Amino acid sequence: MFDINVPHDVWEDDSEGVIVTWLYDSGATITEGKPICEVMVEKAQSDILAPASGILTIIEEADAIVVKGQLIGKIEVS
Amino acid sequence: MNKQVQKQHNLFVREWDVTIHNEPVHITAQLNQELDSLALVTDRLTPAKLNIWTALTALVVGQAETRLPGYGDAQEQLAEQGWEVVHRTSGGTAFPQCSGILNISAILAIDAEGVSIKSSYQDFCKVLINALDNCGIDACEGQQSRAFCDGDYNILVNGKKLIGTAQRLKSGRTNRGMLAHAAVFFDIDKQQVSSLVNQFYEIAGSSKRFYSDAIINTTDLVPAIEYKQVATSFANAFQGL
Repeated sequence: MFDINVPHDVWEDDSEGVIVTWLYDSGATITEGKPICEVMVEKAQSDILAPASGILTIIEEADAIVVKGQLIGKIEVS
Repeated sequence: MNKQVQKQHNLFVREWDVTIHNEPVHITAQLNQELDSLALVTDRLTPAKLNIWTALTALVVGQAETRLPGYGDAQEQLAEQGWEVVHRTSGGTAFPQCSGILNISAILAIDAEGVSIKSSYQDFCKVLINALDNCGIDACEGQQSRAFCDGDYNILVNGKKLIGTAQRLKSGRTNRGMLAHAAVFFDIDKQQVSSLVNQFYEIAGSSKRFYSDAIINTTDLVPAIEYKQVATSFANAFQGL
């Protein structure tokens, strides 16, 4: 299993962000390097890219408040 | 001399492929075109692009608004009044678009290691403030929570919101890109658009409310100013002219 975490370089300070949307549902097959989720801080919206290919499990749903490094999903590598 | 040094270090003062639209565009087509441009600019396939445009009437909302319980009803009822409701993928909440709002979209490649959101907003705001200064308007950066679509990096005049800003950041495998957007209140019916945003939130099931006296038009400050003059001033400021 691969963890999907909010990247440490997505914003520069310890602000909280919000998950704007997941581009796939849990159970979907996703591809490494493709955008899977969008997060926002200070009216700046960023992609989170899939760290691996496999089956997605969402842990933190859209509208959840998140911090850098937080676990938000997992990927089961097929 | 100091001004020149400041310009050289500003992320947004550079050579641009500039387009100034003289006729209002359809908002969905424009937003889609900008996302396509962002992908190309991020991959270094095209140079930085600066688009200055106005839109046909529409209410643009963020993704979070589409999950409000009454979103479908709000969408339907506003459409009946001639306000199509569409959602965008840059940051922010509900924002009306019409021919009285001048939009600036700056699409540029940024370092793969990333650029600070805060410093890029500050650079962006400096250019906007310089352009307004050239139009005889003394503005500053700040918040105005009584105005719709508030953020930390509005441009204010006399404490009222004149410009709202937002960003969209895109990550490629090795490169990154940014779409910085500014919406300038040029000459809008402040009461109408604030009421429209409030109506949207009320029908959609949100308690958010905003006030028309928290926003100001460019034409309130310089009554004789023309769209072309303001658009050219922004284009020049981004080009360091």
